[in-house]
Amino acid sequence: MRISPDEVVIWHGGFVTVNMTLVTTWLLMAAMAIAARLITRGVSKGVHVSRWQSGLEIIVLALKDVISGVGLSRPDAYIGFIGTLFLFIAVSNLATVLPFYEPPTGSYSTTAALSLCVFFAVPFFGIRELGLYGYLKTFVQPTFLMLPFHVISQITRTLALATRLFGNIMSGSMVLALLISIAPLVFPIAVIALGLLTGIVQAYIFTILATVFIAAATHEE
Amino acid sequence: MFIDWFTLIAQIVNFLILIWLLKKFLYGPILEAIDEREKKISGQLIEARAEAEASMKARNEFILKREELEARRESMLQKALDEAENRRRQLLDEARAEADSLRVRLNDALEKERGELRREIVAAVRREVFETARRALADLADDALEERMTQIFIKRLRALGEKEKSAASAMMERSAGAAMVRSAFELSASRRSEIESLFGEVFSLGAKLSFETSPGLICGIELTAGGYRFVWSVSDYLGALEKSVEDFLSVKKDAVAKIDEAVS
Repeated sequence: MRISPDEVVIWHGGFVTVNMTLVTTWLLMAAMAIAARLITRGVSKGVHVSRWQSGLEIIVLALKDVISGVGLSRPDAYIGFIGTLFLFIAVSNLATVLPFYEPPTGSYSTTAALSLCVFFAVPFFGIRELGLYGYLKTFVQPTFLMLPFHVISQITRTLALATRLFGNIMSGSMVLALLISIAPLVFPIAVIALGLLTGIVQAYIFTILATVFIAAATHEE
Repeated sequence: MFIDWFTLIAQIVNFLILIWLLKKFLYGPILEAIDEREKKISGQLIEARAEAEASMKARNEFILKREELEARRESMLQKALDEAENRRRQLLDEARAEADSLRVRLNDALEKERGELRREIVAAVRREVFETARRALADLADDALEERMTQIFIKRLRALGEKEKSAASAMMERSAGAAMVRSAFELSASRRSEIESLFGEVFSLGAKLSFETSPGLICGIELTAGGYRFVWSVSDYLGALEKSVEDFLSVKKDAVAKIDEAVS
């Protein structure tokens, strides 16, 4: 039984291996970019707005609300990173309703990549907001003794992020695969529905945790 | 582990590309549109507020102006009413004055006419009365009556007071003219001599008397000498009667005028 879509190799040449994860990711990226482009091409700046634009505005404003709700005072500066995290994870999870689709978030390589992005984004935004000294100072708050715990937490929370998302999505896919082999009618639908919920919840959890980490790094104590 | 390192690196790159794509095609345009719209709406709100303020101001000005006009209209109306009232009073006064003057003129004319009429009536009555009396007396006159009248004349001449006698004598002396006796009828010779002797006796004058007949005297005898005149005749009685009638009529006229005044 396959655990990850990484195992489905489509093209292989030396170090380069084009597997199902990458292909699916590219397709999702293309779909998202094209959809966004199509909708925002005729973007209306007036009072009358198309339904699609309205939907996008709702999503973007909700993301802004989440970011500012966590404590980041300038949500526009973070929405690129945090919003894309949420949208990519959410879309790739929601797409599980499509037949023969395997979510890239079910690949540990993908979730690790996203976690690494968060891992690097935290010092990036922290230094941008507080400066290098200000950011490094957060590691010795409230006392110097806390430094090892801060360093450990940076690494462990990154691992936790990656593993949590991978575990949830991968397990959902596996349960679905098992169910289809045992009871191919009716039951898989309930599991898919549950999977949709889990997928959105996981996207939210991943995003909110990333936001909290960034907020913690950009706030001077 | 399940990590494919190439996939991991490729996914990081993919994610960064996706960030760039979404920033370009999603967040950028959408946030820009939202900002633009909010700006536009707040601009419109400010504009609407300014317009509302302006219209409120215009409304207040209009109300003020309308109140002013109302007040002016009221005052003009009041003025016109006052003027009309004054004019009415003036016209009424004028009409009343004119009516009064007309009434006075009418009264005067009526009074005049009444006076004329009264005078004419009085004159006619008087004429008629005297004419009748004269005619009656003339018809009655005969020798016996003439004799009786002469006796009365002589008696009255004799009865003259001293004061009157001396005054008459003085007047006669001053004139030194002839004395004359005029009668309505022819005096008998005896009566003439009796009168002559009495004249000399009464006035102590030696003047010559002449005698004349004058029917206009109506049953009377008259003695004239210089400026003096002594007469007895029915005409005198009639004259006295006429005078008393005149007096009575004038008294009556005053009474009528008083009554008219009281009535008006």
